Amino acid sequence: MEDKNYSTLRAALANMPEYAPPGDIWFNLEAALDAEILLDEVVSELPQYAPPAQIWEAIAEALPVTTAQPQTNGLSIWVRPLLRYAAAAVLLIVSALWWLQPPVNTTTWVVTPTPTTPSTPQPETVKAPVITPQKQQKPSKIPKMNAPQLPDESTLVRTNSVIDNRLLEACNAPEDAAFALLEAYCKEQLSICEQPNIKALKSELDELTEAKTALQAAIGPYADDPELVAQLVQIERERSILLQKIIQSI
Amino acid sequence: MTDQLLIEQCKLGDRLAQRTLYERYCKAMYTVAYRITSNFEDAGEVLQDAFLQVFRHIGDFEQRSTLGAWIKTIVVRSAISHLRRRKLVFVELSPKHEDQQVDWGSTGLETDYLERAIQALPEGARAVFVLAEIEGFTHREIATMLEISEGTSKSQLHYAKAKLRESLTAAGYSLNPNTPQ
Repeated sequence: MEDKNYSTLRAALANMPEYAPPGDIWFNLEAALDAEILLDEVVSELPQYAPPAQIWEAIAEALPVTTAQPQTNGLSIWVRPLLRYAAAAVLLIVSALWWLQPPVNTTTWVVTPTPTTPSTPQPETVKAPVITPQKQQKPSKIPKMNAPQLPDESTLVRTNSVIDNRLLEACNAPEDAAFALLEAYCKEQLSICEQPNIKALKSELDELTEAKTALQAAIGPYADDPELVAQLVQIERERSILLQKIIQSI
Repeated sequence: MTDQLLIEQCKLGDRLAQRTLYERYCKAMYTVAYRITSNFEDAGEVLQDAFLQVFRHIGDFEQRSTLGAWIKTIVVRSAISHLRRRKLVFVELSPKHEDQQVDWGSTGLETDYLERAIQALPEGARAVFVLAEIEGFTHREIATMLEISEGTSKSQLHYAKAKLRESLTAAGYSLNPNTPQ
């Protein structure tokens, strides 16, 4: 049914006032736009790596014949590709650490049985006990090579260990972006990162990060202590695994 | 600078063009947001959200409508989703509402009174009234935006008008040509 005197309403509506928004809205908007640009830059700067062929072989072996579609959650558009990069970086780090690590633990001290013929030439051959891994944690406490009171005789061979610089590099560069990304993500998506399981993993990750920092300081610029480097590699591997778990949880 | 040029510059992420576009439309859009949300603070949030979407998606603007109409649609949708977060409620109406005629009288309506009366409307009815009578959307468009039926949109509009007339009468506006009491 048509309104009576409808033109009266139209005339009044035509004269309704306009309101100007507060000035800070533009500044908020600008800050949000800047943040988006920054994020785009970070994403575009994240490196991409080709994993070793063995990784795909291992994945292919583990895959069932039919694969389920990946689940999508409520993550915003920019986070998904970002996390894919992070996951790839973590995978690479774990692989790199695995492949680059010395084959027998991380020790540089090798214990072998005492040879029956003392004439066997060995470099820097001394008598020493079997060295347990605990004793290897602090090189300064390794018993002196020719300590006379040591009961179990074996021959300790000091290898001329060379620290593989790739190990140290793997402990530094590429994954830092992934961790920084996680930090940035958690700042934005507080509710997700506050979930108990993620929070616990994150707290564990933070502890390891602190340990890493302390260890790096102890290692110093020359990185000439293989034991400490081995520990650093171990910590880094654990951090990478934790990061991967967090990304999967997110 | 023409809208066309602004669009092209905004597509390139030119901050000055973005600012110019914002300045050009912010008042109209803020007003729409305010009329729908009935709250300046909410209107500010809506405006910010809406313009972020505008700048993010300006590359998708196909120019089937004017730039202003496109932005307005984004602002309206943003305002509605803002209301939805607070649970947009539509007053239940009986069919008799649509049969009643609203008489606006021949006296000019003072916009201040009208504004206040609009803001006093229940949320759902206010949204429909603003979209239909002020912003010029059709009932079909409103029904789509608010996710209601066209019939509900029509009955809510009629209800809004009746309530407005009631408020204005209570404020002293009579139907005769005399000035407000």
